[in-house]
Amino acid sequence: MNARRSKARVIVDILLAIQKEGKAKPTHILYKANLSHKLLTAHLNELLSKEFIEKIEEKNNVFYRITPKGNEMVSEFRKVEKLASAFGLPI
Amino acid sequence: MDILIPMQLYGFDLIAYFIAAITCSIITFYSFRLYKMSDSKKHFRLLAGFFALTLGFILISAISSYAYIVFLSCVESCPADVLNPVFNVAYLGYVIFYVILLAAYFAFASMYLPQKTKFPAILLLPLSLGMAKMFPYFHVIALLMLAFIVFRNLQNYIHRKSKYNLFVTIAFILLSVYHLLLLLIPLNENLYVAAQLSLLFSYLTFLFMIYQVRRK
Repeated sequence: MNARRSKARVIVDILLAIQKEGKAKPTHILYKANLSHKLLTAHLNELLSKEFIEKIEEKNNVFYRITPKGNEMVSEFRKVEKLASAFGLPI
Repeated sequence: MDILIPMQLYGFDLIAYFIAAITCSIITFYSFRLYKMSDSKKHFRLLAGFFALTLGFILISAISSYAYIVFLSCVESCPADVLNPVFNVAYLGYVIFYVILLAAYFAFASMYLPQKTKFPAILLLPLSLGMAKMFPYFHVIALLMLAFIVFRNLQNYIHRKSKYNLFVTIAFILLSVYHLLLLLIPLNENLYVAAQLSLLFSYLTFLFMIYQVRRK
């Protein structure tokens, strides 16, 4: 059974999808983070406003790249995830 | 309160209280970061539990220090009735400390209940005030809540086999031993020292867990 993902988990899944590729197209993120187009757009806008990712336009294609602040967010998530897991709590 | 601590070990419990206060404040800090990121009720209960424990251990460290300082500076020259107000303050301090402990254990236990379980937590306040005044009953209730917490943590450890989960389980087991030994003090006053050692090792285990978690 797949439990419903928390918002923090979805955001980190998006960041991880971008981080893994260096720079990623929205369709690639959509596929890797397993999200609908509507939800992905909302989350990408939020991540852009929080400066966790940046938008790049190359040859009429849109890419997203993770920022140092985004990398910090992923690293922080991994640490708090370990703390939650230590107490048997999902995140 | 009828706990008789061996004279040569006066002040020993302060070490355990002080380390517990530091450990709980560190876990409170990281629980806050966890809650800020997830906004989950379960994580809020973890934060609330450790925050309550931090306040409780700071309070009991301060009151015990005060009681020991007055007692040790006065024991050979003061009449006994001079110390009575000090012991009254210490007694009140322990009652408040035990109420805080019960609230914290309740917060931890509720983390492991199903999300939709409704429990009128406010009813616990008069109940815990009553129990905290009767120390043996307090320890029995604390033991029951800790038994549930240990059981759920053991289940998690068996399921996940995570070393962090193991540290937390051991820490909660040692906390249970602490309450059990305090309950058995009438049999042998030296059990007070064993109880404080159990408390000390419990929070050292939590401290080691948090060190491991934060390590890159």
